[in-house]
Amino acid sequence: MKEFINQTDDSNWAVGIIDTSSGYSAIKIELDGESLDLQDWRILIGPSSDEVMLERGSGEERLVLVKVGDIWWVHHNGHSSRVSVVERGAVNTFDSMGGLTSPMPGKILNIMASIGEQVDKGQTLLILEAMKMENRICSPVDGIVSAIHYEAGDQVNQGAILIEIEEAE
Amino acid sequence: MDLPSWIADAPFKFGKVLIANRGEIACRIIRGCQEMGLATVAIYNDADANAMHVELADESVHLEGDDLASTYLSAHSIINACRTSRADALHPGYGFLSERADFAELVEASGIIWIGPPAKAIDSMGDKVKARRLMVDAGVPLVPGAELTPQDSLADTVDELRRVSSEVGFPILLKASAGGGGKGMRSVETSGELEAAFLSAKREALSAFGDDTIYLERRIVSPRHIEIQILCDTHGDAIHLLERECSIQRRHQKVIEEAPSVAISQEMREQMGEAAINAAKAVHYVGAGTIEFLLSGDEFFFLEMNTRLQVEHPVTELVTGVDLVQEQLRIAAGHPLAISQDEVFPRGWAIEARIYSEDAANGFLPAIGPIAIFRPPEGPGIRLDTGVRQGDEASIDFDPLLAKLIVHASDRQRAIERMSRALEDFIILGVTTNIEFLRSVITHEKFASGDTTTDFIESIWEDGWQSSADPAVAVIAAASAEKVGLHLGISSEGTEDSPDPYNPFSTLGRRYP
Repeated sequence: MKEFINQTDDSNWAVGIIDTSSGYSAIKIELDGESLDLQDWRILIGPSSDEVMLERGSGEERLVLVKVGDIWWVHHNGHSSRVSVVERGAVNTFDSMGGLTSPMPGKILNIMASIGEQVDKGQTLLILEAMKMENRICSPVDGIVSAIHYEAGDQVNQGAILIEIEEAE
Repeated sequence: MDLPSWIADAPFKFGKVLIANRGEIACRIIRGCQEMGLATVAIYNDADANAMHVELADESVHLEGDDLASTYLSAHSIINACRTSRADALHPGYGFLSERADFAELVEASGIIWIGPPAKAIDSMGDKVKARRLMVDAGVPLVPGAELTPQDSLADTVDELRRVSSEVGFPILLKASAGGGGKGMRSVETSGELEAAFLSAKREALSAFGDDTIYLERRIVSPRHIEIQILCDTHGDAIHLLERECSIQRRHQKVIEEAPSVAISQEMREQMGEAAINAAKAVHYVGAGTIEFLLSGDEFFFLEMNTRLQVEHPVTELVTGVDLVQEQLRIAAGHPLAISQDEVFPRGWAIEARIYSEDAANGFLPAIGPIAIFRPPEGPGIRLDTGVRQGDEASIDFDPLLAKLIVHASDRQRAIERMSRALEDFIILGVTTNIEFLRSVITHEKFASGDTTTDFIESIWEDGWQSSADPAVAVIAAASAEKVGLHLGISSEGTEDSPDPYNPFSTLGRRYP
C-alpha cells in the first residue's frame, strides 16, 4: 500500500495496486483505514500522456493530470485537486509538529507574538508581505508560543516554519 | 517609414508604439496596435525574457535590473528603450507607471506621443483628496468623508484621526490618497481598531505608492460598484460607453465584472453618464477613462476616476462593439471620436472572470508555481485575454492575474450559463488558481438573481470557501498514474539533457526555451 494525501481536503489515503494475469490491475483504496467499495469503477490510462478516463456507472469521465515535483495535480469536472505521494515515516507539518509554516515566499513585516505567550485561535501572530500585499498569519489553535524562528524584516521561503505553538489541552 | 493610411494625415503622427507594461494587458495592446498597422515594442526584465508579450511584439528591449523599480517602474529606462527602438509613441497599459503624471510629462517632453490622458488630469484625479474637491465643484455626488490635517507627531496624528473619524461616523474606510487596487485601504468598524488599521494602511500605501497620505470615507454598507467608461477626444467631445458592474470583489479587488448592470435603469444610466462626463470635463480629460461610483438604492456617489484603461475594459468592448485600445490610438493621433452618444447602446450581455493564481480556500493568498498545463475553453462568445502560456511560471514578482476569461451572449442568463461552462472547461494545473471559486460565484443563486453587492463573497462564504472536488477520484487517478509511471513517460522525452528536478514539464511545455 502506498500513502497519498489529498491536499485539497487534507484527507489521508492508502492505495494498493496489484497486477493481475488478466492484463488489468486491481485497486484497493482505504480512507483512514476504512476500505472503500469502488467495484464499478474502472480507470483507463490515456489516451494522451496527461489523461486518464474514469468509467463508473454509465458514464465515462475524462481527467487531466500532471505531476509537478512530488504532487499530482488532477483536474476533474471543473475541480482541481492536489495529491501528494507520501513516503512512509514522513510527517505532516502542522498537525503533528505544531509549526506554523509560511504559505508563500515573502518578507516578515511584523511579529505580534512572543515566546511563552498564550494565543487564541485566529489571533494574528505575524504579518507577511508578498506581492505587495500584507497577509496576516493567524494561529490555527489555542495554545502557547514555544518558538519563533525569524525576526521582522527577514525574507522567508514557502514552507519555512515561522512559529511553533504548543496546542492547549 | 510608411504610416498606415488612418494616421498618415492625422494631427499627431506615430508609427511605432512602445508598450510600457507586461502580462495580459501588454498582449492585448500589442494586438490592437498590430491590427491598426502600427509597429510594436515590448519591454522586459530578466524574469520575462521568454514572456508572451515579448514574443508577440515586433521587437523588444531588455531592461537591466533586479527589481521592478529599476525595470517596469523606471521612467528613465523606459524612455531610453523608446530611443533605442525609435518608438514614437508609448502606451502605459494599467498599473506600473500608467497613472504617474510625472511620467506622462517626461514622455511628452521627450518628444514621444503619450497614449493616455494629459499629465494634469492624471495628477488631479490621482490624488484622491484633490479629486474629491474637484468633484464637489463639478456637482458630482460624493461619499461623505474627510481629510486629515497634517500633524507634527504621531500622537497628534492619532488624536486628529479620532476627532475626524467621529465626525465622519463609523463604519469608516481608511484610504490611501495615491491608492488603487485596495492597497493601503482598511475598513474600520469601531474606534478601538482605528490606530492599528491606520498605521497598517500607511505602511502599505508607502510601500505600494511611495506616498502614505490617508483620508477617511464613510463606508457605505452593501453598495454596488458601478463604473462608467468614458472616451474624450482632443476636440473637447466626450461620450460615455455605458456602465460596468464590478460588485464581486475579494479584498477590495474585483473578481467578476459585467456589462450592463441589472441595477441600472435607462434613466439612471443617463444620469450617471452625465455625471461621469462632467467629472471628466472638470479635469479636461482626453482618452479612455473610468469614473467609479458606489450605488446604494437609487443613490450614487463618486468614488474615484481611473485615468487609464481598466482591467475589465473587455466587457464594455463586447457590449458596445467599440475597441477601446484602438479608440485610444485614434484619439492620441488627434482624430475626433468615431461614434456619437446616440450610437452607443448595449448589445447583449458580457461577463468577465479574472483568473488569479491564488488559493481561494486559504484566504485568497497568492499562489506560485509552474503553469504545467494551460488549456483554456473555446467556443462561441468566448474571449480570452491572457499573458501566460503553458510552460510559463506564476511568480512572486508580479501581480497574480494570469488571464481574463470574458463571455458574451444575448442576455444575462445565457452569459452566466456560458461562463459556467467555460470555467468548467478551463484547465490550469501546476499552480493553484481561483477557477473553481469563480464558478461557485457564477452559479450561485444570488448571482443569478442579480443580488450583487460588494460584500457578496464575504457574506456568502463567511467562514471561507471550500472546494467541492471528489477526493477519492483525484486520489485514484493519481495513484493509477503513479503506478504506470505516466509522469516518467512524459519527462523522459524532454528532460534528458536538462536535468530540472523541480519540474520536468516546465522544460517540455515551454515553446521558447
